[in-house]
Amino acid sequence: MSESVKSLNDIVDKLHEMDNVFKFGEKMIPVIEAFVSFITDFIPFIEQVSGSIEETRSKIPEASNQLDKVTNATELAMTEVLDKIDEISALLGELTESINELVEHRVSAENLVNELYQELGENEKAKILVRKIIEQMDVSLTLELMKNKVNNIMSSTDQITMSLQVQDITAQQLAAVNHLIISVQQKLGGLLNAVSATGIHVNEDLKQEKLPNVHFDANASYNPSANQQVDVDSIINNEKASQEEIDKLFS
Amino acid sequence: MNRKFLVVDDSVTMRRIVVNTLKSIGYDQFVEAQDGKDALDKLVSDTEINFVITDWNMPVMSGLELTKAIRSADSTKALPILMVTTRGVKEDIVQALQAKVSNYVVKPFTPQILKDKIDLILSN
Repeated sequence: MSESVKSLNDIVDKLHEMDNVFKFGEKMIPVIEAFVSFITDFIPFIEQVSGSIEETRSKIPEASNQLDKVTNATELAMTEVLDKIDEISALLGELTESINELVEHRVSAENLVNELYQELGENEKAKILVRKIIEQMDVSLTLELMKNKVNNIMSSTDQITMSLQVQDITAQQLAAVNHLIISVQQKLGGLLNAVSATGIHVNEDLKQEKLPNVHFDANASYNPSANQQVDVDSIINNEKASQEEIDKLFS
Repeated sequence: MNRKFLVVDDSVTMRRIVVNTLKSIGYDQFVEAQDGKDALDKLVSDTEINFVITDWNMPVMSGLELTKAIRSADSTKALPILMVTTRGVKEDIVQALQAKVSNYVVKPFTPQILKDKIDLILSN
């Protein structure tokens, strides 16, 4: 076969290929038209979704601020409660001192009356009266009861103080929630940025929120049971024992 | 009792509670700090501080970082440090022990627990 015939065959092959491409293109045109139509219909939907995201995202800082306000308000309230507890504790301290003074006065008075009793000699009628006075003066039981009640109130204020630790624990839980919703806001911001990059209009100021510098224990829980500390002590003792064993190996 | 406590916590309420508890068990000298960095500044400015009670979770510098900083400085490495925190899981406790806290209390604590821990640390 001459070179010229081979070239003509190549040209014919290429023309067949082009013909196939055109035929395929003709078949694809309706599909492409449908795809363009789909995208055209889909853009308003994406714009609507991005609008919803923008709206949701814009509410997050408000929610976050509300949580901060709750924490600040409870902290303020706890400070006021602690102020009152301080006042009650001071008053109870004064009351305890007064009761102790009363006890001392009563002992002094009783000693004096006993001296008087000795001085009465044979005056039996006067002695009976003095004995009655001594009986009337005996308020030791009442004072003891008063002291016990004061101690009970002191114990209750200690209990209240302990319970107020719940504020720190709930503050950490709120900080954890706050951190979570700001993370969601960041993710939504990222999504809006991606939508914006496609050319679809996004109104939102796309600057990324920074996570606040807060530190919290997301697992903080209020458990006033003494068992919690017992468990911690047990872990400490076990760990110290194993550390001592390790130290011995190196010594 | 000749003890001056540095109470470190970002919560005003908790600092008050710790200070009140210390008062109720007989101590009367306190300095307060709101985070680890503030605590280190206080330790530099007040050399009479001889006991540290610190929270773990705090902004700027955590209680764990504070403990490591205290233990790494010659002037403060022997200070007793009591960690008072909500973190009660084993991994956290082990981490605190490795940082060389003197002892560890979980919140909420009772005055008796705080007293026992302070006494135990001081007796050692």
